[in-house]
Amino acid sequence: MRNLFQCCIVSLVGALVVSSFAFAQSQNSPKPNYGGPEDLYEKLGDTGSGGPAPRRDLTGFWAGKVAAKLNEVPPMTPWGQEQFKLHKTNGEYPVADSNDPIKGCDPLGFPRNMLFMTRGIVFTTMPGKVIEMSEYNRIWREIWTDGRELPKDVGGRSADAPDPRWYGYSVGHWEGDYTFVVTTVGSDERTWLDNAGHPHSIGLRVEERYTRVNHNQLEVTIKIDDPKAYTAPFIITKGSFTWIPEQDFEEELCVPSEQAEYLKLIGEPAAHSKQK
Amino acid sequence: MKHATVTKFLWANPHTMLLFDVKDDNGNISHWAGEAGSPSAIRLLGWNKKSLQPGDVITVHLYPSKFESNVGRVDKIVLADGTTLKDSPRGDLGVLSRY
Repeated sequence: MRNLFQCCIVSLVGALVVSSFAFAQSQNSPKPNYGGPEDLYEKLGDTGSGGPAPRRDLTGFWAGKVAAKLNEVPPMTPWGQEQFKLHKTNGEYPVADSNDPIKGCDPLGFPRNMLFMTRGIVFTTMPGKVIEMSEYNRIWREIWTDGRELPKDVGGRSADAPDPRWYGYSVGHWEGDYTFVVTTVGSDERTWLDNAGHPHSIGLRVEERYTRVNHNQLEVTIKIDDPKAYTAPFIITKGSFTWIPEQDFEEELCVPSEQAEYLKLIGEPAAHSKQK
Repeated sequence: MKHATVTKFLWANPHTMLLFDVKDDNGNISHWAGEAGSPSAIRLLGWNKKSLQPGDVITVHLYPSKFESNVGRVDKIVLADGTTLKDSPRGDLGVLSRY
C-alpha cells in the first residue's frame, strides 16, 4: 500500500502555526496556487494564433508544460505489476531511498521526457529526418522520414539485434499537411514510463501525433502500446505547446555532482534521521 | 524563521538549495538546509543566481522534515528589503510528501 505522509508549516518566530495534512501521491494531484507561472508555457499564456500554420513544418522552439496531465493507465499485466512494485518513487519515499533512475541523473528516456520535465522542445529538419530536441538535458531524438522501417527485435538475443536506446528508435510521416506522426520502439526498459513508477517493456511502441493548429500552437497526443506491461493500448496524455517568441530557452541539465550534493545536504538527512 | 543568515545558495538542478543559520534566544546556532525548485522554475518567480549571498539576513518559511533533521522544502523567503520570493509549484519533483 502506498504511504501517506504528513508535513507541517513553520511560520514566523513568535507565532508558530502548525498544521498537518496528508498527501496521496499522484502526478495529477491539484497543486496549490503559488501566484506565479509553473513554467514558460503558463507564463506565455494566450499568444494568439500568430497566423496560419505553415505546411508540413514544425520547425522552432516550443514551450510545454513541465509535467503533462496524465490519464490513468489501464490494468497492468502480471509482469507490469511486478515491475511496478519494484519502483520506489520520489513522491512516496524519501528521495534518498527512491530508486527512480533520474535520482542519479540517469536519462529520463522516452517517452517519459515527453511527460515530465518537458518544458521546451525544438524541431528542425535535416535530409531524411526530423530532429526533436529537448530542453531538459539538451538531448535530441532522430525521427527518420526517409521511409525506412523501424528496427525489429531491439534488445533481442541475436548478435545483430539492435541495442535498446534510452530514447528509442523513431520514424515519422505526415498525415495531411499539419499532423506529423512519430512511431518509436526500442526504449530501454531501465526508464520508467512516468513519475508514478509505471513500467514499460522493451516491446513498448509509442505513437506521437503532433498537430500544428496554427503558427503558435502545437498539440500532441501520445499513445502507449505495450502488451507485455498493459492490458490495452491507451492515450497517456494530450498536451499543447506554444511558440516561444524569443526562439530560445534555458539550459536545464541534471548535473550528477549537484545531485550528489543535494542528496548529501538534504536528501539523506531528510530520510535517515530519527523521527520526531 | 526570522533573522536567518544565509551561508550558501546553490543554484542547481534539479533543486536549488539554501543553507542558512538560525540563532535562538540563548545564542545557540542551528544549521538548516532548504530546497526549492529548479532554476528554470524559480527564475519565472523572480529568483536569480545572485538572489542570495552568504551573509544575507532573511526570513525563511519552510516545510520542515518530520524527521529530526534541519532540512525541508522552502515555501518562500523574504529578503531584507521586503521582497518575497516564492518557491515554484511542485511540477519539478519537489513533492512535499517526502518530508
